[in-house]
Amino acid sequence: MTTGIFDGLADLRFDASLNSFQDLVTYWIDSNDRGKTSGKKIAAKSPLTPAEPILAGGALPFDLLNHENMVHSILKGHTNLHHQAVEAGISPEFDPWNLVMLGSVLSDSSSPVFNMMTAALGGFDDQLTKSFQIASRAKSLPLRFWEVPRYEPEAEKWALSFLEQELKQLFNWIQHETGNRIDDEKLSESIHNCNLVRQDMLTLNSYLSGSIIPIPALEYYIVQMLTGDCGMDPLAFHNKFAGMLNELKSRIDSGFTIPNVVSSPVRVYICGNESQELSLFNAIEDYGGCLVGCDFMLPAYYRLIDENNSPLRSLADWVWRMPNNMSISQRLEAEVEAIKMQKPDAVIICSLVGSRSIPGAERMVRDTVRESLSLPTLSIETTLPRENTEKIDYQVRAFMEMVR
Amino acid sequence: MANYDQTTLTASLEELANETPRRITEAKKNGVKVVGYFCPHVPEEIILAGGMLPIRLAFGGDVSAAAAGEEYLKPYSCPYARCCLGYRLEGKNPYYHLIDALCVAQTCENLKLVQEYWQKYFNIPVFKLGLPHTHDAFRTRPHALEYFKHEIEHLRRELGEFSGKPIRDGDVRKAISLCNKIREKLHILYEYPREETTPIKWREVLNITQAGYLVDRGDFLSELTNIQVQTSNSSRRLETDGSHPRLMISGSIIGIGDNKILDIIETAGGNIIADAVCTGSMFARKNVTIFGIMGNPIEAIAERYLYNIPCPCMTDLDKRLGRMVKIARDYRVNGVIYYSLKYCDTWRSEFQLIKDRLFDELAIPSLLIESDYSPSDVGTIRTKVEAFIELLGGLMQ
Repeated sequence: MTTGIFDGLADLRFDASLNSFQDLVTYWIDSNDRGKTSGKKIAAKSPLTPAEPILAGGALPFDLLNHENMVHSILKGHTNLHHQAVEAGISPEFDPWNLVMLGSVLSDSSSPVFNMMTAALGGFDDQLTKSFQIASRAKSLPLRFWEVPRYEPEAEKWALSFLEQELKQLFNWIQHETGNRIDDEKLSESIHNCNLVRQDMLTLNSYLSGSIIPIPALEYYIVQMLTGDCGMDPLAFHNKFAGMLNELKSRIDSGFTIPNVVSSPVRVYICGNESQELSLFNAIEDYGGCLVGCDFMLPAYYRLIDENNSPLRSLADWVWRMPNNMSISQRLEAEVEAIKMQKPDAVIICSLVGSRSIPGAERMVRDTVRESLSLPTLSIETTLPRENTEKIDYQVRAFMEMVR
Repeated sequence: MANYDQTTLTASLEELANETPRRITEAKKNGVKVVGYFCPHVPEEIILAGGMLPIRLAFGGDVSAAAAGEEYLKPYSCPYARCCLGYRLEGKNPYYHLIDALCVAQTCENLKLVQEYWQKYFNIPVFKLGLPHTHDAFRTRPHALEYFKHEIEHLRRELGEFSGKPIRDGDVRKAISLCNKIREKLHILYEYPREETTPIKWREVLNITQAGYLVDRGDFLSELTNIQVQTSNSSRRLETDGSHPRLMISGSIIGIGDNKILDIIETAGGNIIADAVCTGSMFARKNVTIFGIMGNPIEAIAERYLYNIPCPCMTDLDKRLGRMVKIARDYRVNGVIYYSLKYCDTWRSEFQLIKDRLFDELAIPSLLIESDYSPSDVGTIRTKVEAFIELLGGLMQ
């Protein structure tokens, strides 16, 4: 793919024959314009914050972090937005995703223009919380944090009760901002629509657990990132996604092999931070591997939300058990099972310089993968696009040679 | 500034502090459990009520311990958090080896990681305390208090099982009474530097507070009583000649032994008289109410620990800003030095907002010092601090 929306990524290799992927990405990027003309309020949110409450309130969810970085940093290469963020008071030592996001909001580069901001707190991200706080003050936008209490089985009774109260207050706030009442019916509908996309991701992962890998690493990674807000419309996004899954299924049925992927490739799973160094995904294939899974957005689709019970209770229960709300040891216990399902031969642990939580857990992830799965691991660190290309290339090459 | 010899004032406490590792070792031989904690959101009262010794593991400022912590945490993580692991790995600081269990409040990301590593790699029981981050001064989220109360009850059960005897309300009330008395006495000491003449310097009070994180709390109360008697009876007064700017220090944790920034400020002629630091006066602020002693003590403890000054890992920025302004106004501060440990995201992010609020409301300038425990930036920091103090001197004239 060398034309159109990926002009800024001309140095990367895309699968030009996977038309449905282009449709999906185009739909996601076009969501900016659709949002602006929809007449609906737009709520900026963090990637792992569930979109259901926003959708149930008749507003559009906008994954601020991923959008601003995909558009400005990755596609356009505008990383100088950092300065705006630093001038506003955050440390230049923050991770680049937050710096670019806040910089773009403060410089009015952000698109579409959103009307309110909301993010879940808990086992999430201090930097994101602070970036949202600064952005909302600078732009005089209403901001609502809602809190997910720590996951601890013995605390279930009072933790879920607390979370339900938090969600009810969030609903009230959204109702106040949008003028639309949130009821069980609307919440159930939004849960159902978001579940469709969760199921799509689970299906895609099930494809990758097989012997024929139908989607290249880079495309798979990008699809994961788009699920942060599903282009503001989960149902429409699901329809596009379903088209892509059909195309991938056809590939599997016909025994299709991705160009540039060797026969019997090293099956690689990636844990850790999302990376802006997209050459990583090409490098895996260049040196004899293929990507069979990654956990960047896994907490957002780890399982479906129960649609047979009270929607409020089901949503609270699902959010409370999100893997990123667990302690690292609990999360890894759950994740080891997810990794096993993808049958990898090796694991790459990706850290984002400046991020705290996931890089801080790298040692524990590495030890757990080695102890529980007896798999070789490679730890890498990335920053902004193209800043680590050579280093990553060298590391991946050496690792793949070792694994092979 | 008058030459003031404070050795007699705290000599007894220092002696006690030096003796503490040996005393703790003796107590452990007699079956007493030692429970460590990091953040001041852990109610010491519950540990004390269980007949255990609480130790606040608040040491910092040690380059070698921070480097040792990189065994687990990245170099781009908070140096205090790295020290929390490094001291244990190095084996040089006895307190990190004397503890039998850890009690950790869920505050910032760095400390959540620290607790995980203690649990997995040091094989220490870790009791976690869920702590709401979104509550606010207007108490618009009453369920936060309810949740926190349950978490403290849960902690009480866990610690009771750990110590081998249930922790009863009566024991909690006694512990509240002890801790309240300690906080009251510390609070009085922190009030002294507010005046033009004071029998004790802020930094001495900080040292006393930090000694109190380690020594037996009953002994600490006795020492505080002695110090209070001495200070109130002392005819000696530390006088400022008015040429030294009155400074407030705020920001990240100032660990026990993290003297770099304080030494630089003193050497440069700055006179710290107030703080908004979690190892300083914030620890002593606000008592458990008398109703806690009379009524449900767990509810009263929850109230005290939840609605004290919020750490910046919490979202109530307005309360934090309001508190800073109040301290600065009450202590007639001329300038604020904001000490942000490198990679301490929560404190660092709020500097600009705090700086603007202090200037808008009180015309007080602030200086950001972002540093870690390395001595490499001492020269740079000294230059910045000297220039700031000179600027304040000019403004005072």
